[in-house]
Amino acid sequence: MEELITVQGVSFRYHEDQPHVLRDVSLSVYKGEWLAIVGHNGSGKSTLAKLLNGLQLPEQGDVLVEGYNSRDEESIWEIRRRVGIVFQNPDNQFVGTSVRDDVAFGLENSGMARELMLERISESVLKVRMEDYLDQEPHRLSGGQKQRVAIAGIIALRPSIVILDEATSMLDPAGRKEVLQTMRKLKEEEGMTVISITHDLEEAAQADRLVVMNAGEVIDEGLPVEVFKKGDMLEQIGLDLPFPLQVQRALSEKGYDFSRLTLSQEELVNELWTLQLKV
Amino acid sequence: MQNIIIGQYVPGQSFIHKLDPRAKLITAFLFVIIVFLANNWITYALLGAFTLLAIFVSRLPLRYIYNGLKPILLVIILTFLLHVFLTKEGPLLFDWGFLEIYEGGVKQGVFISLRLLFLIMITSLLTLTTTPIDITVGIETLLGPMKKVGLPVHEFALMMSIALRFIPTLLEETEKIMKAQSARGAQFSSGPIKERLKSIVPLLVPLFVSAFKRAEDLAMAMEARGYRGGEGRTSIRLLKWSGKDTTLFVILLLLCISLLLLRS
Amino acid sequence: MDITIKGLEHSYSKGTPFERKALSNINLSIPSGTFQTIIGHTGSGKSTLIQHLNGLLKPTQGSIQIGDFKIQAGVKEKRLKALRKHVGIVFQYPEHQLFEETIEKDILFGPLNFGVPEEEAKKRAARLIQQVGLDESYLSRSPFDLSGGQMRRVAIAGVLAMKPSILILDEPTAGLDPRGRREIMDLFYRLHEEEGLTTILVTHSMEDAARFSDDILIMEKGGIALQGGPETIFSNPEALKKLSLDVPETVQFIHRLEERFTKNLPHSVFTLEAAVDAALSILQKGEENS
Ligand SMILES: Nc1ncnc2c1ncn2[C@@H]1O[C@H](COP(=O)(O)OP(=O)(O)OP(=O)(O)O)[C@@H](O)[C@H]1O
Ligand SMILES: Nc1ncnc2c1ncn2[C@@H]1O[C@H](COP(=O)(O)OP(=O)(O)OP(=O)(O)O)[C@@H](O)[C@H]1O
Ligand SMILES: [Mg+2]
Ligand SMILES: [Mg+2]
Repeated sequence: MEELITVQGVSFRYHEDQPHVLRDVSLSVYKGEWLAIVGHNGSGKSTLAKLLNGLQLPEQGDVLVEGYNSRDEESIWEIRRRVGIVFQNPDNQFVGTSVRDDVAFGLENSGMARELMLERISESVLKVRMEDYLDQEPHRLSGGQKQRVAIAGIIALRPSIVILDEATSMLDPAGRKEVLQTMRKLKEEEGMTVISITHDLEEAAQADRLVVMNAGEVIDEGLPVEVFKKGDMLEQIGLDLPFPLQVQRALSEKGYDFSRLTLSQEELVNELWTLQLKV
Repeated sequence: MQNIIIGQYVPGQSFIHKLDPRAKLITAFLFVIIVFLANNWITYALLGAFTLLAIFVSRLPLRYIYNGLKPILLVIILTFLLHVFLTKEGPLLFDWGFLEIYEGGVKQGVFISLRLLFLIMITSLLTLTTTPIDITVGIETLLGPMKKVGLPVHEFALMMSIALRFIPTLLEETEKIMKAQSARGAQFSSGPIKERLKSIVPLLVPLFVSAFKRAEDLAMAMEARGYRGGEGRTSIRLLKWSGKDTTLFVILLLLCISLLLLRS
Repeated sequence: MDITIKGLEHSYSKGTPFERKALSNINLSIPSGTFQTIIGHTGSGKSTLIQHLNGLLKPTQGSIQIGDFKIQAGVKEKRLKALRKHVGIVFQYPEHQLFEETIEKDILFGPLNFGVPEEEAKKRAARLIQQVGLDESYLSRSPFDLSGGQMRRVAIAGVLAMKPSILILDEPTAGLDPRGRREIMDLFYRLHEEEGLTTILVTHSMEDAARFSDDILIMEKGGIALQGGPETIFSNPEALKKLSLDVPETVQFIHRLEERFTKNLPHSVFTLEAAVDAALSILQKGEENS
């Protein structure tokens, strides 16, 4: 698999007189994968995201995006063209004075022709279902609406990697599903790579690969099933197991043996079916 | 705070909304000059007609404009009174011993206040019907030729657009901090003046801190989306000179000529 | 304090071309001591509604009665400060709520405003910062240098420090890690029970709504779409889907079990334990049959 991002031994802190927020982090992101990053509050996830598109520079180590090192001033723009971030708080990422202007902002920066821009804008607002609000000013939108516009602004740029920093945490269940489906479709159809920073374990369970952060370090990574096997370790660092696994765990304590771990309810019910047939 | 209309943009589809921002900017600029051509009742009436027509055509709610003008009305009335009492020309109208009012004073007062009113209305109309971005783009293109002489036109326009973008943010931030503080017992709108002033100080510090923080976050978001100044940037806003804009200029020309002919 | 809302309507920027109706004809009564949850899709008016409950927003029509305070369209309520002592709000975006130089000062802001002696207030701050899951060393730090989840915890501590009798929470756990979520919701619920608070929770988490609520209100386009206890509300997945909402995981699980095993199971299953019991009952029945 093609490696898009390489993080090598990166350490970072915000101020010289404060402890390191990231410590010796190494990580790879592969083309076309859905990578979820989980970790407790303050474990350094958002900071890592900022390092990945050159908004912050490592104190030690290197961040390479498709071969461009974020330390080279010339490379930064190449990196930012390739890596889009949707931030945690939609309010602080509104740049334009209307939804249309805001979605256009990144496109304008890239010097795109106007015709193409209009096309891209209507396409991406449609994907987040904000097409009726094009002329609305951002401060007259609800929290979730703003977040959807922010997402539209990023996908309009068609970056090769999109980082969602808890981008769906303010959305209603349907909105959340919709955004995730949109992202999944982009991933499938256009080969986009998605890095999703999330506290939603169901979402994390559906990722191709999972990275676990704790106090500024990457302490585990691998397939979600593999990572979620270590339930005790996860609980210790403030995380939890997805619901199907919790049910499974409670049942195994009661003496029921499962042949495999299940990450979705569907799988769980199937497992229960086989189990019931056996007894 | 909601009543302030200066700098506000009201979305719409009227003739005036659809004009090219350059046409509107030039008109507003010329209007400021030709207002000074008026010097008798008929010329003032002409300017008044033009202003009213413009407001009418813009289809902005009159009430909204009136509410927005209220704070400025005081200044206009003050100007009027100053002229009425201080200008001693023409026949005497009233004489209360210490106060004398002359016809010239009244006339002068009315004219100057009208002039002020027209100026404010036309410039407000410009900002009410044109988005801040369009105004900036307009100014940038109009001043474009000056780039050749070495004037930093782009930087100027950029500064202006950032300032324009920031005013609502600052207002919004103030409102949010006020809400957050009121919810925890701070008082702003009631109580004796002294108390009110006291509660404003703790508002200012966090306002600056958070506005700064907000600016930082915004700058980060802009950078993250590839912003690096005006070089090589395209714009979604398209300036297009159309028949409407030419019509406006013809009207303006007619107004100019009439003013020159009719002034005494 | 009982809350009664009658014919409430709110339009933002009333009387300007920006006018936008965000609430219309809301009638609602929340008896003292209720755990009231409000859900609804984004933009349905939840935040707008709750900001009326301590006079941050004024109704453009209708009235709100809270204990013996009355907020009415067009009438100026002079005792807003007294009202706000009783009604604490944790706002949707925590960074809007933080404004002091240090976290301690921020937590103290409310109590000091309401005349709590400084010493007592500081004690509360020291206790609360731990209750929300941060250690005391945070007290001297700037609230702006925190991660998203840490900011939210500080914002919550600042409101709890006022000891309100009505606690309004606008998506208080968005952005918290799983343990933080659980701990903070448990803290709210404990306070609700122990101090007899009236709690109003706005949330997108159907699990929290199901677990803690006495009553659930579903908003849609600025009005009330549905109202009832968790059992009633979550018994109709189709209706919820139409409102961009969903049923809790536990209920989804029960429905799946019923479908697969063609059995009838109890529907008001809102905790992990109850879900596990349901699964057990099926497995055990299987054993009995064989
Ligand atoms: N601007 C800043 N200045 C100084 N310290 C900061 C700043 N932003 C974050 N920190 C600190 O860095 C650490 C990591 O923060 P970060 O925002 O990366 O965490 P996170 O994993 O994204 O947490 P969350 O889940 O709460 O969003 C935290 O301890 C936080 O207090
Ligand atoms: N300050 C404001 N000015 C004008 N309109 C606003 C303002 N705040 C919200 N609105 C509008 O009022 C409606 C209700 O917004 P509100 O914030 O109450 O929704 P919400 O239910 O809290 O949504 P969310 O779940 O996204 O937080 C939305 O259509 C929104 O666009
Ligand atoms: Mg974060
Ligand atoms: Mg809200």
